[in-house]
Amino acid sequence: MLKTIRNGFMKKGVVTDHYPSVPFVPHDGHMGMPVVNGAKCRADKECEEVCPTGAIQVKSDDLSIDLGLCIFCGECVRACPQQAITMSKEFELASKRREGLVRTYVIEQ
Amino acid sequence: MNERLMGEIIASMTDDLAKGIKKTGLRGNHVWMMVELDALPTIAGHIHNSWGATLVSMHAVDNRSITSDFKLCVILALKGEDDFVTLVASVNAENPFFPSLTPDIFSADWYEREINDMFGLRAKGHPDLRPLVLYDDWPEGTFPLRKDFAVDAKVPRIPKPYGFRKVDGEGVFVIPVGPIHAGVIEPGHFRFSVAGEPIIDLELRLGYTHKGIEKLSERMPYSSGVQLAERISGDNGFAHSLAYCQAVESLGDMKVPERSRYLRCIFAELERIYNQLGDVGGIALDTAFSVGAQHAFILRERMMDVNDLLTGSRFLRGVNCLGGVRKDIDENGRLKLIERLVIVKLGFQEFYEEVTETPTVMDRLETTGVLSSEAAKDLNIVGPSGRASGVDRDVRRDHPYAAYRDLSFKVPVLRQGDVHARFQVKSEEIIESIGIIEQAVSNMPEGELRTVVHYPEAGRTAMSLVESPRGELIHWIVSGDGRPFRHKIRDASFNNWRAMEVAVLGCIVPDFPLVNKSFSLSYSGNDL
Repeated sequence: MLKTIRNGFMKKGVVTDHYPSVPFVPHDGHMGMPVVNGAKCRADKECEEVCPTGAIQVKSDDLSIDLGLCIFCGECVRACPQQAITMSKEFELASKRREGLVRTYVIEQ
Repeated sequence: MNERLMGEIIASMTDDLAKGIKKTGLRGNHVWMMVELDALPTIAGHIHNSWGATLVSMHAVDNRSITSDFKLCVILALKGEDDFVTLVASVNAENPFFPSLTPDIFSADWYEREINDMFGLRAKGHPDLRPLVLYDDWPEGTFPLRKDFAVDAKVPRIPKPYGFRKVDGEGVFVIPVGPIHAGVIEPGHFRFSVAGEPIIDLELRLGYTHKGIEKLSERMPYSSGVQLAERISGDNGFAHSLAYCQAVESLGDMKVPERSRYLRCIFAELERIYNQLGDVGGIALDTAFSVGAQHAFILRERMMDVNDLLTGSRFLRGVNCLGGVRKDIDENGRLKLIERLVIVKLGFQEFYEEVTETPTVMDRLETTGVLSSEAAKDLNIVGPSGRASGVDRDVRRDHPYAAYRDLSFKVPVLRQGDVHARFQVKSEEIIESIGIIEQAVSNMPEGELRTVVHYPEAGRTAMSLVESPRGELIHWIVSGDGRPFRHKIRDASFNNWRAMEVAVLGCIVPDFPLVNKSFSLSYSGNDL
């Protein structure tokens, strides 16, 4: 019993964080939400073709990613010849409505 | 495998048996034997029993478009050798019956029920052909893995009762539990029959998370198949994707760079460590020793954090790819990994001492949920659960893949077969895994991470065995046009669920969660 207390609270202290009042910062390589740079995108649909779940839809002037379908695999990032997509560190993606999970980016060129 | 061994296997058969063999072939460490359908059970039974082989998988292939029949494959792994025997028999499409292997090889039981569900090939002489994988209301005569069943087909639902085993007697109660459980876990139905406190019968009904992964894989290009494999069973994702990649690499004769082989070992062991930490913590938690359990969960979190640091994914997703791995471990990552392993090793020793020195915990663990060595062998229990019951088998040592041939490690084997033995095996595996990673990071050669991907031509066959944290899993692929023609997946849980029905007998109902946790079974991996 004494050992349990000694090994626990006294030795380790508090190991949990004060999230969300203190924001959590993921590691650098974290595969969070894919983000599109509209200035670089050429709408060549490479990402749409490789997406294993069909989460990406490319139209002539915008590109949308459905985060409800996205599995955060990063295939689109690797496929894009313009390097227009990156995996961001953003992970707080909940939405109250289904439509809120669809992110649309305007293609500027 | 060499020709001498193949000759010895055939020579060990009586003339009557050998007559059933139509054709033999040798490829790598595989012996292929085309056998007469009627001779399949006796030949398989002979190799299984006289050569001490284990049944790795048994499955069917709908070959009607090519040879207008179904093929039945039985894969056996020879004891003490890195060699396999694959028996192939042809089943007439007009007469979809085959003689059952279950009377000779008990562990064929569920495979034959699965074949019956998915292909409509019935095993004659099988003692129990109730549905195993499909829902109760799945219409009869509809077989999802046949090629004429469309992947997006909607089937009418016809509710019918499932014929559960009946246990009668004075004072016998039946306690149905599930499929929906308290807590966020997967669905599965357990039916206990109890006489007073002790459980006298347990029947499992699974299949509630059946997703048709094997069918889906048949229309997925090889590159997307890796992502599918990663998601077969969430916390064993790396092991599954590794098995898939290795199978496709062997189909396409790709040679994975040496550095990638080492990295694959490192990531596979990282996965093992966080899984086993979760299991030993869960065992402590289920004995109501919450304080101790939290120590293990803290360590598990530290390991998942280091996964995220090295690969960007806490579950090591996106690491494996055809021809190698995507993520390298640089000098900075190596130092952080070593540092984290030291912290976890020290922390784990504290946790281990604390649990094993607490009499209330040990009292619950010892002699609870005993799985005898005989039962474990008959049911072909794999992984740590098997090794806690005296089954001395580990794919990493017996059929080495990636860089395991060059790494030295111990395979802990105990004979008691109780919850404590499984706790002990998992605890020792954590320490061994840390040792493997330490060796691998210091011996890892420099070089490329990926080789050029060659997609295989159609009609080739390959398989890959991987030791996942739960035990041996297999991916077996026949190549088709840019995607698998048939992809058979067998998770460790498919073998190990049966152990529950045996191990809980005589235990009291409150011991069930503890026994269940100690086997650490995946519903999703079983149901596919």
